[in-house]
Amino acid sequence: MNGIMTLARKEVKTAFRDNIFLIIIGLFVLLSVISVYIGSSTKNAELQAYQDILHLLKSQGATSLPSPPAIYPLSVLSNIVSYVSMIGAVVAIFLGFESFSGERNNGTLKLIAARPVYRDQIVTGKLLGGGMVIGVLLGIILIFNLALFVLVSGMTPGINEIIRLLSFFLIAFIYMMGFYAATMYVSIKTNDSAFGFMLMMIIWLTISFVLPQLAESQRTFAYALNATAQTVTQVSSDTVASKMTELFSPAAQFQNIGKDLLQMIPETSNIGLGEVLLKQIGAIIEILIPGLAVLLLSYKAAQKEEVL
Amino acid sequence: MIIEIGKKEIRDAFRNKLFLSILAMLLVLTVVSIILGSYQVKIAMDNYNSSISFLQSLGKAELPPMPNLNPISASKGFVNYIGMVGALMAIVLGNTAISKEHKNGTLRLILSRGVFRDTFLNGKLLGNLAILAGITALTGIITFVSLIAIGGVALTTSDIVRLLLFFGMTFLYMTFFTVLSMGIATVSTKGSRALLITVIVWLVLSFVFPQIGDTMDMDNQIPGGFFSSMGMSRDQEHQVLQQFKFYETLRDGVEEMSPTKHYERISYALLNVKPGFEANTPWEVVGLKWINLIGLLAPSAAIWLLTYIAFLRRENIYQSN
Amino acid sequence: MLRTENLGKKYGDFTAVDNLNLEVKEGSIFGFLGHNGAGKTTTISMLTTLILPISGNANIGGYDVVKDNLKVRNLIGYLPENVTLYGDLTAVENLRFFGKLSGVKDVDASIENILKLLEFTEWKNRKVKTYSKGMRQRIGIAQAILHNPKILFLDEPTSGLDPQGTKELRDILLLLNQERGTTIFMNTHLLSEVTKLCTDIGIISKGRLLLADSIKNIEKEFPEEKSLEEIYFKIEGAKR
Ligand SMILES: Nc1ncnc2c1ncn2[C@@H]1O[C@H](COP(=O)(O)OP(=O)(O)OP(=O)(O)O)[C@@H](O)[C@H]1O
Ligand SMILES: [Mg+2]
Repeated sequence: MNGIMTLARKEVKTAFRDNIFLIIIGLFVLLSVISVYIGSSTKNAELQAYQDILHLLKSQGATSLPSPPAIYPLSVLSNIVSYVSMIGAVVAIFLGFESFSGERNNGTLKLIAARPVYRDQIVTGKLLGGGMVIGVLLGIILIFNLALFVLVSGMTPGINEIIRLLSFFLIAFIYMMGFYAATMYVSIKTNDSAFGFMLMMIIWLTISFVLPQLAESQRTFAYALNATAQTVTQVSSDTVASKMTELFSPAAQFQNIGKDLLQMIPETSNIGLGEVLLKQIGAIIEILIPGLAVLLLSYKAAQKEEVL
Repeated sequence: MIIEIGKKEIRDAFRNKLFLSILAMLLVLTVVSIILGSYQVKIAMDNYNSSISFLQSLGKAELPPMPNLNPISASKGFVNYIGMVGALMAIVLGNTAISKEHKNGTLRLILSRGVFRDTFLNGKLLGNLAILAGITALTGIITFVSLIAIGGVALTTSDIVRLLLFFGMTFLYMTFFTVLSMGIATVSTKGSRALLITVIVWLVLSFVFPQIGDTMDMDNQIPGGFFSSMGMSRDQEHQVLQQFKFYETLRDGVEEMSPTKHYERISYALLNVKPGFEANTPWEVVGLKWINLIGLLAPSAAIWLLTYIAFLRRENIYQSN
Repeated sequence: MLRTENLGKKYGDFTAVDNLNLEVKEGSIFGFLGHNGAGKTTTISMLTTLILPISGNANIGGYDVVKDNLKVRNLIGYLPENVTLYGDLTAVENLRFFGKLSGVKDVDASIENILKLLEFTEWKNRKVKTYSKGMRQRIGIAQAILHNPKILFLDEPTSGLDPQGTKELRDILLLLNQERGTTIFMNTHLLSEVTKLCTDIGIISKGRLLLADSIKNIEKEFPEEKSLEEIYFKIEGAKR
């Protein structure tokens, strides 16, 4: 246990000494703060635009006026979803890509392995250390977001909002840890850290960009088909193929959960947390499973002597 | 000599596993998106034909005109894939071009063979641009063939020129990232660090700036679009937006910093994905969108110039890392 | 202190170490000599419990390297070849990390002690990546002896050091051996090192042990040969 903590603390320390990593987390924190700021001022602009629209319509003599846009408190923070799913995953990759290959090149992995710790403790220690770093980052972002939220929107979040926000950050944590574990596994398996890094970037690009995009174009394709056959009158938003494609993308699943939790979908904005989580249970499992799988693989790979 | 160095670059690239895997992915995506796009064109076409024959069978003389099928918009999905995957591939290409010499310590060997530094750098650039040109041409051929074979439409001359210009933009876009990563790798002393820095720059240019622009778009904030939820027409939308001129300028400014956005804008105009350019000749579109063309060209030129100066002047070039 | 019986290791079909029988007495400085690829590092890796032998056994201080590996790890100190440590951490931070992993009680006090012994206190708070190779090697030794091991394994400790650095390292090892009674097991292909430092030597070639004895006995056995170098080439030549 002591050994694990020592290993974890060292991970945290070296991470925060690394200039490149500092740049990327600076970017991450800065962006999420900016995005919330932009999000909320856009909302304010919208409310203003609504007033202008009323004026315009009244002056044109319209009788039926549109109702004010429905803005749920947490949706002010909604931009955070896309930032965590994109940059958050990259942060996890930057954090983990040298976790083993770097130590192998330093010779320090042998130094650790020749001390009274088990190999699986090395993996656990690194997982814990990475978790601490990611936890600290998300914590900082959460606090900034809450502060900005209160400052800019002038609303105080109620207990329901806070619970939703906390659950969102918990899921964001799991999501990022999944990427961290996958990167760690790649780092165990390859000596060339640049190769491992780029490999993870390709996987990231596929998961968080290519697959959702494919699902999207599948949807428009299906829409065109339906329009031709004139079977459906309204826009069909989901098809089997697009669902299948998204199934392979934890990023898409994460965004779906995020949208529900942060009140971006009017239908789910007022239902209880339990209901939201139940609705998204499949998505949550899909985020968990790949992470756990690569973690198990890491434990297994770390037992081999080639690790050193 | 330049040619020799260039040829070696091409040979090396096709032994690079990372490059090959991204290339494979890009080609698969190209094929998938073009085929889906071409089918869409074909369906619209069949649809029109069947309704014509239906009307004719009813004995109607007044037939609806052929709708604007705009077959070249089949490349729309391709724009997005190039924007991301193509850029990453270009980065891998440019970075390995320089970092492999660092890693193997061959930089010293090559330069001591009496090759001038500028020849060396130019040869590397030439080789890598040749690869990019080849890839662009290949995707271009795939597009033309599947449009004609699957879509079953005859392309007009204007369509063909527009497509060719579009592929030219694609080449320029990838060139930017190759030049960028070569530049960063040349200036930095450590190959692996250079890759990380390049990736960060890429993230900022291709994800972060467009994303910020997106968030600042009022219309995006409400599902289904803000203005349509207010029941507003385009004209009214315009009138309201007039009041937020500054805000819109800021949004534009952020997006202007991203080559990905420039590429997207000029491509969408060329492919008629963005409405409003159908009546223009292909070259007029380029003329109207000149700022985006500059946005693609100027950064590459500037970075290349800086790289050149840095490389020719650098004293500690022999240090291997 | 250390004894191996028919110790062997294969990589695939390739036999890297073949039926190795060694004995290293407590308090001795053992030089393990051999050409490149002879199997020195492989042997040390088995002894330091990093890889598993395919046959035979080895024990250190009475503990089997396979069955009691954690106990063995408490007894040994190890400095592999080409260790650069954590570049972004200072010497003290590096040492504290390894000390804690070994379960050293009062880490900071023992770090102070060792840095004094190695005359390193001046630079202890600088990042390791700013060190010269010689300085780094000294911190490498420091991490290996922090927990006061009974036996110290060194893999080509002088490789890359200049003559000055080599001499300093030698003095440190002699000091350790005399003051703390640490047994030292050292891989090397530098014959001059062995003559200046070691009490006993073993010579390995293509995975097989050719000879192992104390320097005194060897000199008696080969009276005509003037230097260890001549003895080495004579044995190597005879077996080839
Ligand atoms: N992980 C491995 N897989 C396959 N072969 C290996 C492995 N490690 C070592 N070998 C082979 O085993 C043999 C012995 O290697 P070892 O590293 O023990 O030699 P050495 O005596 O330390 O040599 P050097 O002086 O070069 O360090 C070599 O032929 C080497 O190629
Ligand atoms: Mg060796």
